[in-house]
This record gives sequence, structure tokens and C-alpha cells, in this order.
Amino acid sequence: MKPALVHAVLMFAIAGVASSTALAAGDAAKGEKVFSGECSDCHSVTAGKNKKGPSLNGVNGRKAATVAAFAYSDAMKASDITWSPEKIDAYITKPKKVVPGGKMKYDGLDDEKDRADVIAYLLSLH
Amino acid sequence: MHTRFSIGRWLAAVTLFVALAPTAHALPSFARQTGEACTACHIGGFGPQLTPHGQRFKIGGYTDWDGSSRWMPLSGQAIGGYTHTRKPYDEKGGNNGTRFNEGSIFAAGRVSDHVGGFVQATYDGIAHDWALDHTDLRLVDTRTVAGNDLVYGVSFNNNPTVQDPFNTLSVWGFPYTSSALAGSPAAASLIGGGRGLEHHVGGLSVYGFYNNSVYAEVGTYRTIAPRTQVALGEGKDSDPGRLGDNAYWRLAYTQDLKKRAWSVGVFGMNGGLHLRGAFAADQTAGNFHDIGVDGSYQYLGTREHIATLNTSYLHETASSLGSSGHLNEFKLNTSYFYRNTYGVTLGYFSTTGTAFGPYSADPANPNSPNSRGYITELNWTPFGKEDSWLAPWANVRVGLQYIGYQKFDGEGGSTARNNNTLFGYIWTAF
Repeated sequence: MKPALVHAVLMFAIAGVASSTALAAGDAAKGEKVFSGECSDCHSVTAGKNKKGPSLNGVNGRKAATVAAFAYSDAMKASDITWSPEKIDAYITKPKKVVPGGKMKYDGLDDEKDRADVIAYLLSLH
Repeated sequence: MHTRFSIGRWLAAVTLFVALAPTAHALPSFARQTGEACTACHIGGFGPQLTPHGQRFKIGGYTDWDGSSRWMPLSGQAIGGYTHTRKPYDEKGGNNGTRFNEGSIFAAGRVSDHVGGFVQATYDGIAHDWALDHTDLRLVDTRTVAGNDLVYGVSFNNNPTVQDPFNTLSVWGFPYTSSALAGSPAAASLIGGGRGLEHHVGGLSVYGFYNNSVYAEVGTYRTIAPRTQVALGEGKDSDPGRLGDNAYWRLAYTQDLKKRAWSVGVFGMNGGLHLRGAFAADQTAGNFHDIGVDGSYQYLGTREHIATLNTSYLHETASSLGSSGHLNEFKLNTSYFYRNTYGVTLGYFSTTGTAFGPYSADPANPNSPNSRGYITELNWTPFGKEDSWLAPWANVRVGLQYIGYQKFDGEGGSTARNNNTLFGYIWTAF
């Protein structure tokens, strides 16, 4: 393997590990508070409890636009997303960038640590 | 031009509103419509102080919903309490009394993605009669302008400032309820309710809310025909007169930073009132020009500790029957809520101005309109959260409020303090 290619592979691997570490390092307890301030007006973590947004209980691994009895936007239905920590992170960073035309009226959560915490909280709900 | 309303048209409009709203299994309320807890829209888990989320719900025409619920667009509330004043509040010499203040029913909810609102009818527990209360019906839409959302719409309402999304102006300002027995200062501005426009007018305003930050509105009102006012439950002598050409306007800038929010704004109303007809007892002839500034701050954090600050200052110039006067109204209040359950609010108010007929209980012998004092309130709101018992059906607030006067209609000292009022209340909504 050429040195340049090795370097690229290593950098990609490091970046991937760093990304996973950032998400994995989230604090679920802190994430619950972030959720309370940023998300809970429109989302419940109770299974089957939809608000202006769908329930986020069990969101990890779920295919987008599949919560029963919730009226999704056409854009979300067509997104073909399966929610993973990385996808959730990208989405809550800039919702309209990931799902243009989606109906979630949220500008995004800039703070990377807050995002990691709230994702850790969502993952803890399983 | 004078717009006339008939009781038949009102009833038809209300019936149509209720009929068009989705019906079904459960009782309505905005909480049921959206699936959200009361705390999402209301500071302290109980109306009417709005969070930024609640402000957007109102600006959006009360049309947000959970996409699947079906509900009856009906709701109700009841308020009762104990009043104690230093001096008697009635001719029988009573200064202690427990009364049922009022009970209301609401037709409230969305009709479609673009139509929503509420109509309130209230039974007055003191006067023992029903009347049409606050009404705000909206037609709204949203479009993207220069890459940002513009929510725009029309509000049909019956009380200037009832349509305002901030809790700094008269209709939705603190205190949110008060004793129905105790007296209150006589002087108030046109926009502050001093000329009795409340529920005696119908108005249309157009508004826009751009990029979740700039709110602008302009509108105009017409007084309802006197006989229709009576048909709607208002007193025979309470017609404020014919409201001539007038304009209501509002401009505000707000920022919702999730953990905190703030707003600053300006507002105003100009209008002339003219005597008319047989119902002249409460009418005023004159021209009134109001302009004001307001601001608010909310610390929301994780919703465990919430603090708010609301303030407004209004200046009115007026002329009536060859004389002129002015009035200044200042209000400041701050509140703290713990877990949207335990709340304390401290308020200060000051009204100053000239001795001027329309500002006095006896217009023929006007006295100083100056009043000044403070309001303290403690309240407990056990429900209103997502996991509350019988949420969102069971809602109650228990409060203890004290109003202390340093000046009352120009009088100071013990004469002012004689109007000090202790009010303990229970307020329930369902």
C-alpha cells in the first residue's frame, strides 16, 4: 500500500473513531436536560405519544416516517433515512439541510457536546 | 363608516367554526390538539403567559396539531376566590367575600392548516349574566421569503391587544386574574381598556412574522351596533360610543434562543370616539393617541428554573369637549417558577397624568388619575406537565395575590391603602 493511501486510510479511520467517540461520550443525564430545553415542546419520549413531532422513543434504528398515526411531510417520507446516532447528529445539527422541505421548525443545535448528550439520552430509552 | 354586526351572524360564525373543526372522541383544548403539555406553551404550566413556543402557536393561527388526534374544539374554565380589602368594597360595608368570579366556555382549535382561533363566552359570577368574551379568529399561511419563513395572516378579534403574542400589553399582561369584588383605579388608556372598547368592537388586523424574529401588525376596529352589544351580553349602558377612523399597530423583534428568549417592541392606537344613540351612559367623546414601548425576557434553561421579566410604557395624549389631557402607564413584573409548579411574581405599576374628564370616575369633576402600587402573587400549579395526572384534562392553579396601593386615583396615604386587596383564588381549566 502506498504511503499516501495508508495515510488517507489512517486519517479516515481516526476521523471515524473520533466521531464515534464524540457520540459515544454523550452523557444521557445531561442529554435529558438538553432534550427538555430543546426538544420536549414538540417531541415526547413516551412510546406512542406524538405531539407536533413524532415520539422519539426507540428512534435509533428506526426507518424515518414510520411512527404510526403521525402525519409526516412528503420530504421526510421520501428521505429513505434509517436513524442512527450519526444520522440523528447530522439532522439535529441542520434539519433543513438533511431533509429539505421537512416540516420540523427547528434551526438546529450548534453545540456538539449537547448533541452528543441528547443522542446518548435517546439511545438510553431503549 | 360603521360596520354593523348581527347576533345571527355571530352565532352563524361560531356554529360554523365549531362545525368545521375536526370532531371526535375527546374534549378539546389546544393541548389536546397538539398533544403537547401545557408547559410547552405556558410559563408555569398554566395560561396565559406564553413561552416562545406558545407565541409561535398563536401567531400560526392556533393550527398546529399532532397530525392524528381528533377532538371536540370545546374547553372551559372557572375562577373563584376570597377577597379581603381594608375598606368596604360594597355599599353593605363588606370587606371580606368569597365569590365565584366567572366561568367560561371556549370554542377553540384549528379548523384547517390555515384557519383557527377561539371564541370565549363567560358567565359573570358577580353580575350573574353571560356575555361574549375574548375572540380571536385567524386565517394564516406560511411562505419562504429570501430563504426564511414568513408567517402571515389576518386576525378577526374583539379587543385590541387580545391578538398580541407577548404578555406585555393590556389584555394578557400581569395580573392574569384578580378580584371581581375589589375596586381598581379609574384611569386607563384607550389601548389599556380605559374607553371600554373590550368586547364592544370588532376588528381586523393583518400581521406577519418573519424569520421567527420580526413581528409586524396593523389593524382597525369598529364598534358593534349598540343593540347587538346588548344581544351579546354587554350592559345596556356600556356602549363606548362610535369609534371613528382608527388604527392599531404593532412592531416587535424577538429572539428565541431556546434556553432564553427576549423581545422588544413598539405599539400604538389612534382613535376618535363619538356619542351616539340612546345608550349614552358610558360613552366618551374625544380623540386618543397612544404610543408605547415594551420588552420581555425569559430564562427557560432546562425548564426546571424559569424566570421572566415583562415591561411596558405607554403615553397617551387625548382631547375631549374642548379640554386635553395625557396619561402615562408603566408596568414592570418579574416572575420565577420552579419546575413549572411553584411560582412567585412581583409587579409594579404606575399611572400618571392630568386631571381630565375621561380619566375620572366623575368626568364633570375630574381628579388626578395618578395611581401607583405593587402586586405580589404566589401560586401553585400541580398539573399541566406531560406526565401529570389526567393530563391535559386536569388543570388547576391556586394563588394568593396582594395588591398594595401607594396612590389611588390621585389619593395617597391611608386613603390609597384602603384599597389594598388580598385575593386568594382557585382557577381551573378543562
